Amino acid sequence: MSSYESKCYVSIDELPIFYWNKAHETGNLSFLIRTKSIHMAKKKSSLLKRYALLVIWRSLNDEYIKQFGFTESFLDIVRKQKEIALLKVNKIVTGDRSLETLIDVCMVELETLKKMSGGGTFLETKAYIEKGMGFAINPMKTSVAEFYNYIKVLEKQYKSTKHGN
Amino acid sequence: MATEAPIKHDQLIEPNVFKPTADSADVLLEKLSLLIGGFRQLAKITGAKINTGIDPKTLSDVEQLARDTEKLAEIEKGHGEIQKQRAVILEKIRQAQAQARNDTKQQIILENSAAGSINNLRAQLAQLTKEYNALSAPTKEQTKNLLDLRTKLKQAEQATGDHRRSVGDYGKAFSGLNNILRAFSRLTGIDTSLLQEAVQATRGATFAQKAYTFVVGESVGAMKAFRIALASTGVGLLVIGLGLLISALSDTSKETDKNAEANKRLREEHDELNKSINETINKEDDLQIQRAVNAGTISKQTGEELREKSAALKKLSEINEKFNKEEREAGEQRLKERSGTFLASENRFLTVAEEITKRRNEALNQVERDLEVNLGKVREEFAEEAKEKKKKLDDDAAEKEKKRKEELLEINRKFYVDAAKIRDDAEQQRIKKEADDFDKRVQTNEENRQKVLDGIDKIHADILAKDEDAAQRRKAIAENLTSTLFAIQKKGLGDSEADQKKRQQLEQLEALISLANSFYKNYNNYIKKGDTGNIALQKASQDLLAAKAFGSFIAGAFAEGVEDFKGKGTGTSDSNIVAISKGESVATAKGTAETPGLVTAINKAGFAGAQEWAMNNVFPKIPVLQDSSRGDQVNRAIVSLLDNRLKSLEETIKNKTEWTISENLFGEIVKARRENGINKVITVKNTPIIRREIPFS
Repeated sequence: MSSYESKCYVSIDELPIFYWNKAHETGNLSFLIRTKSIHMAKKKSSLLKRYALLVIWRSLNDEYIKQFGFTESFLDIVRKQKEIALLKVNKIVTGDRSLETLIDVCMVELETLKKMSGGGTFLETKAYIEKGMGFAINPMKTSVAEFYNYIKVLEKQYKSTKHGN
Repeated sequence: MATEAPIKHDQLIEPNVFKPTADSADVLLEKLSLLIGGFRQLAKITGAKINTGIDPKTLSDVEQLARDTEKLAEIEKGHGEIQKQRAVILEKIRQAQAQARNDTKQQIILENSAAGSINNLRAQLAQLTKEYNALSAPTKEQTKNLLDLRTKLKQAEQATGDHRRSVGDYGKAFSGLNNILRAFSRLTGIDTSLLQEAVQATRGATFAQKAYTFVVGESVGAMKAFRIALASTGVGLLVIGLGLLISALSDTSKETDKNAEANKRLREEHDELNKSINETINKEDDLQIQRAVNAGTISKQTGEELREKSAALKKLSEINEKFNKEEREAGEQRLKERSGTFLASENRFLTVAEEITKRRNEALNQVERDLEVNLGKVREEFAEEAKEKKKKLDDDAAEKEKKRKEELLEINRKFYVDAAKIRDDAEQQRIKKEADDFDKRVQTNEENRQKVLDGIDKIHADILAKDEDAAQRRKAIAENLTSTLFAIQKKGLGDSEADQKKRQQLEQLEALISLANSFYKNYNNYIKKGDTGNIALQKASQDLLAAKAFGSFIAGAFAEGVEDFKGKGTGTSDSNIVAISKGESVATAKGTAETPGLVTAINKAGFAGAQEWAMNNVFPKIPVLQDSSRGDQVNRAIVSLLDNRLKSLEETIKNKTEWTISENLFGEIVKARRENGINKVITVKNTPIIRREIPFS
């Protein structure tokens, strides 16, 4: 495992955003394996390797969340799911079937939140950052941490501008 | 309650799930209630896990939330299923209860209707009784009289022996009837003459019938005639009697027919009379009422009758009400008793069931306790028995183990003996086989070796031929290489005195050049060491003079030759000055190192020494040779040795650097360096270092 880690990107500080995005889009974790040449597509690895890659992928995601946290839209969805769950619990415990109406309302709200949280594509985000930062980004050389830090900076800038206005 | 019918399969929402009865549905309902409570409890616990009030911070938190949500969905699904089943069971229970109520209602209705029909019948009976009681006394009397008349008529007919009918003697009745008819006609003004005539005719017919019966009796045919003749008491009148008998018989026959018709008519009239009597009775009642009205007694009679009627009706109503009340109460009481009986039965059944269950449980517990006790005893007995058996088994096992070990030892011994024998046999066979294989291999190797030797001979022959060519070529090359300036000069000289003198001059010149080279070399060495030009020149001159003196001194020191000279410098530095005689050879340090002892052997014994050296140093490196080819091998070794020597010499020649110094037409010194026979550097000095006469110019 440890020997296999040496062949992979094990931190978001070094993993290029291109491969991070590819892994997210395709679900193929072979993009986490280091290679000298650039790959637009990769073959899926063996089961054992996939398991090792899954562990690495998990640690990468943990690192990402530790550093940048969940997005507010995701947290909204989670909160709504919790609300629905608690309504269901109340319905079961009290037997009050009128709560089904409230559950239906919450379900509709949840669907709306999910649709709103889609966001743009990777290239759109990249273009947004390039425009905001004023320089071009090479996705093969920009690490995940770097990329999301750009976004963080732009968000801060946007918020300060908004509050200033 | 008709609740024991099983619920049908198609009445269930989920088919093939269960087929409960109403009672089992109650039990199931209780269990479902418990399940619902369990689901609620689970939902509470899961909800408490979800409702932490803190947003997720890591992926694990999100995954935990997803797991809890899935679990809640499962709980909700299970709860819904249970609720659905509960609703089904409740519906079944409701239907069963409704059915039971309907059955009870039907039963009550049937009982009430049965009670109503009895009441109706009783009311009809009361009405008839009332009507009967309401009949007037005269009518009753007339009817009684009529019945009496009928009875008397019947008795009279039986007295006359006529049993063919039993209609009775209507004569008197008819006379009374005539009186009645007359009274009726008188009262009502209705003409009853026809009825009176009919009664009279009936009376006549009855008289004729009596006479005939008296004469003939019950006799038939000639017997009848004989009885008539006897009655005439005259034998002489027998013929007349016979004639009269015949005539009488004929008349009797006719009369009989008439009587039959009269009887028929009489029956009809009798029926009509009965009918009219009934009508008359009814009319008589009306007439009596009318008469009472006319007599002015209607109010009193009517009041009495009405009172009687009212009392009768009241009494009847009371009776009826009382009867209905009693019947209803009796029915309710019966129903109540039945329900009570049923409930009591049910309770008794439940009590009995509980009692049975309780007794069963007690019995089971008792059995279980007994079993425990017995089991303990059995266990103890079994343990004792097992202990004994184990001991016995251990002893047997030890005995068997001992035997087995002995057998094993025997087997091992036998095995090792057999194995040794087999091994020896195998070893013998192997050795034999190896010997055979070795012989075969030796033979094969010998054949191969012979083939190889033949090949080697052939190769050697080729090598010799090639070596010969090479030697010739080397000879030619050596001649070319050694055709230095002096050699060329010397080569052209003959044995004449002039030539000898010239050769001597050449040798002197050669020595001189050698000295000059040595001087120059030493001079350069001193210059390189840092000495100035004059000092270096002085030191080089001293070395040259010393060398010359030392050379004269040491001349003849190596007359016997020397090998591996221990002097100063490297193997190619030529740092040592030695004297060398004509015709002697100098071996390089490399060649000397590669062939240690060879130079000594050659110096010592010439070719024989070389041959001996080769025999000692070369031949051991060659594989064992057969005696037949030994001479050839020696020859080849010598050839090889010579070849090595030649190569060494050739290398010496190749590595030789020759310097030629000459003077050109302009008096300049031309110094040329020639390596391996090829001119490399030519230096022209217009200031000659040494001004001298060129002897061969």
